[in-house]
Amino acid sequence: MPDELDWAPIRDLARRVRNGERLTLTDDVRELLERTASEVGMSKADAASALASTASAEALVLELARRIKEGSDRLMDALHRAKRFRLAGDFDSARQELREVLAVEVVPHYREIAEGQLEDLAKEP
Amino acid sequence: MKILDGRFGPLSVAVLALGCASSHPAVAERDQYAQATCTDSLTCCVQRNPGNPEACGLTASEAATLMAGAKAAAPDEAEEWNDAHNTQLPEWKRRCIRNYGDCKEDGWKGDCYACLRYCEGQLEWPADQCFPAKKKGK
Repeated sequence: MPDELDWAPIRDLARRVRNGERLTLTDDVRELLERTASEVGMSKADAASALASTASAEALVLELARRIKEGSDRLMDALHRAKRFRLAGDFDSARQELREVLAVEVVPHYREIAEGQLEDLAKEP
Repeated sequence: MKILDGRFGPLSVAVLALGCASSHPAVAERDQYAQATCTDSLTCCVQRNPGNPEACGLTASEAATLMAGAKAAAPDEAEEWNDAHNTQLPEWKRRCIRNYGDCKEDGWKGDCYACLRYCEGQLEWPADQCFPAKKKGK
């Protein structure tokens, strides 16, 4: 996984697919989809299978964008609630917010953020 | 960082003389109180940029709503983190504002303002660009 993620291109591509634009599977698009699939926790086999046709590739684009957005919403909301609990001195509830993210999250970047915050909270009572 | 502001529509350019110094004693007292009690970076930002809510990534009406809520919440510190006063805003926008506040206050990795602008344009916080980095050595 590259050090610097950039998911703007896949969001843009998903928007175009939602707007009815036909996906063209150029080498660049294939590379983008394969790379993003690995970044959001999808297996290489599943990604390769989805690239077999335009229709399944379009479904892949939407699935990648869904994982990115839903994971972001879930994580950011949990981080904010955890912060409020932390400020109130309720560290157990703060940790629970992050554990609930980790129970369902498949995107490695989001998991790393939640795990990092949980480690920081481990130093609290 | 490849977020491009030019991709999105501009924020409203309406300007509200919000938090400007005033000779009216009640207003001056309110402003001093708000400045002394603001702990939310967004309300502090609005306080520091009177008449220029765009500097904080807000429209004038959003800034007014935010500050009305901050003023109401100020007597009770536990309420300072409660953004329930923003209920008239769509959830995606409340999330953008909350995340921006956390990003600024907690020193997240990334350009918080660019991420706020992106969030307002795409209705989605770019957690690939702005997110809390794990503390080191603590």
